[in-house]
Formats: sequence, structure tokens, C-alpha cells
Amino acid sequence: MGKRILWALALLTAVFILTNATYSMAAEKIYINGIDANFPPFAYVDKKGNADGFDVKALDWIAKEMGFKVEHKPMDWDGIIPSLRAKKIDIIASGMSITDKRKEQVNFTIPYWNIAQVIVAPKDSTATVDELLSKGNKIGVQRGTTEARWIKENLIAKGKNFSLVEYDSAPLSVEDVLNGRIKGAAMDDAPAKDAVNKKPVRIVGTFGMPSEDFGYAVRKEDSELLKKLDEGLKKLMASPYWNELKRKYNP
Amino acid sequence: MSTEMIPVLSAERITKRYGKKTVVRTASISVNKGDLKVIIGPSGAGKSTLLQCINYLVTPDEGRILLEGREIDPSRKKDLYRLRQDVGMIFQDFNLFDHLTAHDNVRIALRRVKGIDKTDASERAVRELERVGLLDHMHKYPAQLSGGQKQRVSIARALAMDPKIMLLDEPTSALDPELITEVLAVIGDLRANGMTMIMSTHQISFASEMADEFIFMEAGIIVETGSPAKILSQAECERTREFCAKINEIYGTSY
Amino acid sequence: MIESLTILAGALPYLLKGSVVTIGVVFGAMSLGLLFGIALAVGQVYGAIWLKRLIGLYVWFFRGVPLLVLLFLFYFGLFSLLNINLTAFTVAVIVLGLISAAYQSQIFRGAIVSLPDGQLKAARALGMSDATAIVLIILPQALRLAIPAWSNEYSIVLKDSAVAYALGVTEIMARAHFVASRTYQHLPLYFTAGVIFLILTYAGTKALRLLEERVHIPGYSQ
Ligand SMILES: Nc1ncnc2c1ncn2[C@@H]1O[C@H](COP(=O)(O)OP(=O)(O)OP(=O)(O)O)[C@@H](O)[C@H]1O
Ligand SMILES: [Mg+2]
Repeated sequence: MGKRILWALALLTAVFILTNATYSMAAEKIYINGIDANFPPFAYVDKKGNADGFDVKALDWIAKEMGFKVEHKPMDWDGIIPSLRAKKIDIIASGMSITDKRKEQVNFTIPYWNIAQVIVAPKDSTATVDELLSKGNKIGVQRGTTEARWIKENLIAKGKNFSLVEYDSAPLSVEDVLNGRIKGAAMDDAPAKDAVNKKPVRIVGTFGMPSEDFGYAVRKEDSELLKKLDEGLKKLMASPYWNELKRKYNP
Repeated sequence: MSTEMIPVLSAERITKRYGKKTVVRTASISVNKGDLKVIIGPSGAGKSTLLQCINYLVTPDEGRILLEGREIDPSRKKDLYRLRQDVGMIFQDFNLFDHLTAHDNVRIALRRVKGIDKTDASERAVRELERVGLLDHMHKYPAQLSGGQKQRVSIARALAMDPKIMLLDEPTSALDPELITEVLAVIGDLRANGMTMIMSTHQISFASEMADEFIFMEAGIIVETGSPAKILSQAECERTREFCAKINEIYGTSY
Repeated sequence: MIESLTILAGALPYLLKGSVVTIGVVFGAMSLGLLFGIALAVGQVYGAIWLKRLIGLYVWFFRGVPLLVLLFLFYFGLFSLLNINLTAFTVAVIVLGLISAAYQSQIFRGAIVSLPDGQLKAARALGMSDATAIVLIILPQALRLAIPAWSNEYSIVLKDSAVAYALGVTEIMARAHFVASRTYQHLPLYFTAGVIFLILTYAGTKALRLLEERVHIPGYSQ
């Protein structure tokens, strides 16, 4: 009996690996959009488990308009650029800030959203931004984000007396603000607004980081796709659907 | 030369060393059909090692093994497996396969080594178990059997392979005294049916009744061989006499 | 409270689908680890010296390098370089399987060497080749002995499987996190994920306990 089970397992394993190895031979090209599903309202997973959010719906519209197929795949934010470069995904349309550093690795579309970075603190606290970023306080931030990088390079490295605690997502850092483990959390203003709507926190204000632009990222060599996305974005921003999206997701 | 003259098995000038220690030194044994040769000697003499050299469970450093006059080349796997099928081996601590019933212990090599089909192998196994008086216990596992029963299963397992010769390495040493008789009875039966055997044992009195020849071994060397009567009472060598005296003291003359 | 419960109830089907993913990863990894682990153990006990060294090296590597590093190394590195396009799920199965093989091989090796020498000797004395003896005599006994330790390995792989999200495998933890990010119900969702993991651990170890009883050799003490 035992041996038959072993053989069956061996067969299953082999079949499984072989079928998966040839998986990519699908006939029609479907572009995979990697999203950070922990980044509402730009990208998240809805009640049914489907990808949703401002960026998701925007890209869906563009794909339809420009005549290509797209699927959204939740990814760990930390590994999202390596995934793009390793061709595991083809697009990142998920509230990604355009930075020079990232431009070394990927190409960006035209900017479609300007975003400011803010600090969030408990609703009942009266601290100012300056008070929060001092006295050895702990401040939360999402790992791998531009704000994490900017704060390290421009505030902490220049002698500001507070420390950073890194989280997997902005909402997790908000939870820890409410737990009292950290005094505040830095994030984009859109997820901050989302947090204010759902939790007893307030936006204290900006902390000196220049505002950023969001763009979609593609691989350097995918200039064809980049052109399609740029054109699609322009069309979208000129269409009434753009305002509809803004109203619906209120980023 | 007529076939009767060819020994069933001869081991010629077997030497086995472990590191610097020579455990068996140029030992030769040859057994004719139907013979029972008994190896006696103190613990550590090299009896087990010599027996295991015969079917290459231990690879001798020097010497050769001939089965029915044909030299075995142990580097040829087929020869080796063939030899081992033809040489049945009984171990001191039985070495039954713990996860198999008595019936399966006997049957497994018939099926998987000899390639006999299932029904034939089963029937054969049943017959061998009957022969050692264990038909009622055939569905039991080794852990459910007494020592004497285990040793009888192991004899049945060896017999099922139709060996040309059997090697028995102290087959009763691990048994409680009251269980020894049942195993000795089976061995006596084999002897009566003309099975060719080499046995190492401390059961001197039992062995002396049945053996054709005693081989006294000490420190890896075959010191003296001869009929049981000669070895036990008129051994040429001083050491042999000393050993026999001691063994009688310890084990007595009754079996 | 009520709000949490309605959110949880709504999210449960989504989380449970994640447990199917988790079970898939764990089942695949444990199967791969079992087959490969057995081969490694046999090689390490009976193989030539160079093979033993090689397997030792393998075990040392896969036990020493952190899981996340291996996942990235294989997913973004090795398979990409070789131009083999595998899904994140498959890579997670393969990497967790290769790691588990290293651990499982040591479980099986321990079980094999704990068997009395006489078992192999008796098999050889009957004319069995070593390969036959290993398959028919050694492994059936060693695998039985290995079940309790194997069950332990199962719960470790189960927990490790959560790391697969780093590649984008949306298993239980990743899904709990997604829903929490949208709803800000982190605690209830992680609690639920924890309960699902506990149930999976319980079910797996229970099943293995039953298997252990089923294949127990009569008369043999534990
Ligand atoms: N694998 C081994 N490695 C090293 N030394 C060994 C090995 N096997 C046996 N020996 C040594 O060889 C000598 C002979 O051992 P062997 O078991 O053949 O003696 P024996 O005559 O059968 O003794 P006993 O009556 O106790 O069974 C002993 O000194 C033993 O320690
Ligand atoms: Mg001995």
C-alpha cells in the first residue's frame, strides 16, 4: 500500500511541475498588473476577493480602450519591481511614485496623480508634526516606500531625533498607532484619508517631503506597451469616467 | 572425478582483517553433501566472521569461496545474489523482518528474489512453516512470537529458498533454555533429511551427537579439526582441551 | 463587534479559498520533500562517500539559508535565468519542497540508522540486492518510525507556507492582510487566520496519528 502511495505522489508531482512549466504557452497575451492589495483606495481586494480600486478600474478602462487584456495580481510590495523585471508581471499600476531611483530600473508612464505625504496620529492627540518627529518617538512607515526612503535620508540622517518602524502596509502602521506602540505613521495622503474614514485617527499634516507623482511602471524594453498606456491614460483623463473614478474612490 | 567428490562448498584460506587486527586468518573449510560441520571456540574467535565471509555478508580480504566447485566472483552481482540464495543463513538473533508476518517473512524472498508467483510462493511458505511447526502462528508478527518461534520462522525462511547448504551462527544462543530444545529439534530434523550445514554453537553435547566434524577455532585460526569424540576427549592441542573442559563446566553435558 | 462579525462572515469564503491555496502549497511541498527526502536519506546512509558529502552539502545549504532568501533566489534568480517560466505557486511548492526534503532526509536517515543491522544483513543473505532490500525491508520500517517526526515537519511547513506571499501566492495570511487593509479589522482577521491554521495543523496531525495507528506493527511497542 505504502509503495503505491509513493508512486502516486511521484506521478502527481511530476505532472504538476510539467503542467506548470508549460503554463506560459497560453495563446493570447494577457498583461499582468501587479498590485499592492494593501493600498486602498488605489488598489485593494473587494468583498468577493476581486481586485478593485482607483488604479485597477482605471487600467481596466485603458485596456478596453486600447484593445489589450489585463489581469490584476496582488503582490508583496517589497518584491514588486523584481517581479516586473523578472517578467512575472508586466505592469505596476498601484499608486507607485515616480522617482529617479526607480527610473533606473523601470520606465514610467506620464504622471496621473499628484500625492502628498502626511503623518497620521490618534484623533485625540494634539501633537504637531514637529513634536511627533522628535523626543525619540517611534514613527511607522510602509517598508519599501518612497516616504520610508525620504525620511531616512532627509530627516533621520540629518539628526532628527526619532526612529522609524517599518510595516508591511500602511493600514498595519495605523493599527499600531492606535495600539499606542508608535506615535504616528507616515504615508500617502490617499490611504491616510481612507484610514481617517475608518479609524479614530487624524491627519496631522505634511512633514516636508515634496509631493510626488504616481505613474504606471513597465519594463525598460516594453516601449510598445508604454506607448499604449500613455495614450490610454491621456484618453482616460480627458474622459468623464476619470471624474467618476475620482468621485467613487475619493483618493 | 565423480560429482560426489566435489564438496558442496569450500572456503579456501579465508583471511579477514579489521584495521590492524586479523579476525580470521587463512581459515579453510570444505563441506560435502549431507555433512554437518560444527565450529566451536571461545567468544571473539572469529566464528561469526568466518561464516559471514562464506556468503560475502562480510567481504574477506583474502581467500576464495567455491560453490559446488565453481569459484564465486563477488564483484559480479549476479553471482553474488545467486550464491546467497544457495546458502541459507541463520543468525543468532533471528533477524526476522519486523514489519512482516511470519508468512510474509518466508514468502517475500520467494516472490521478490526468485520471482515465484503469489499463490505458489504462499503455498510454499505455508509448507515450510508447517515443517517447523508454526502453521498456527503464520499470521503473527515477529514481536508476537517467542524467541524459539522466531528462530524457527527464520529457518523456514531460509529453507524456502531451497539452499544447497545452511550456515547456522549460534542459532540457540539468544534463547531461553526452555526454548532451545524446540529449535534443536528442527535442526536435528534437517540433519536427518540430509541438509548440508555448517553451524557454530556452544551446545557442545547436542552438537557432538550429530556433527560429522568439530572445528575448533581460536583467535581467528582454525586450531584443530576432527570427529567430535576426538576433539572432546583426545584433542591434540592443549588449548582445545582447555576449552572443552570449560565448556562442559558452563553448559553441562545435557542439552 | 457586530460590524467585525459581519465583515468576518463576508470575508470567510475568501479566506477559506486561501486555505485551499495553503493546502495546495503544503501538500505539494510535503510530497516533493517526502520523495526527494527519502532519496537523500538513502543516499546519505548507503551511498558512496562523495554522494554522502554532496547530500551533506545540500542539507547544510537548504537548512542554513533563510526561506525568504531561497524563495527570491529561485523565483527571481534561478528560474528566470534558466528562462523557465513557473508560477509563483509552483516556485513556492518547489522551494518549500526542497527545504523540507533537507529536513525530511534527516528524519528518515535517523529512522534508517535506528533499525538493527540485522535487517539488511538478513535481506542480503536471502539474495536480495541492496536496492530491493531498501525498498522492501528498510524503508517500510523506517517510514513507520518517522511518522511522528514527519507530523512535526508538516506543522512547520504549514506555518512556513505563509511566507509564499512574498512571491504573490495569495494564501490565508495574505488574504487576511488584504481584507484587513480594506476594512481595518486587523485583529479579528488575523485571529481567524490563526484559527484556520490551527484547524489545519490539528487535522493534519490527527490524520497522521491515525495513519500511524493503522500501519502500526502488531506486538511492537512504541
Ligand atoms: N565490524 C567489525 N569491526 C571491527 N571488529 C570486528 C567487527 N566484527 C567483528 N569484529 C571483531 O572480530 C573478532 C571476531 O568476532 P566474531 O563475531 O567473528 O567472533 P565469534 O567467534 O563469532 O564470537 P561470539 O562467540 O561472541 O559470537 C572480535 O574480536 C570482534 O570484536
Ligand atoms: Mg558470533
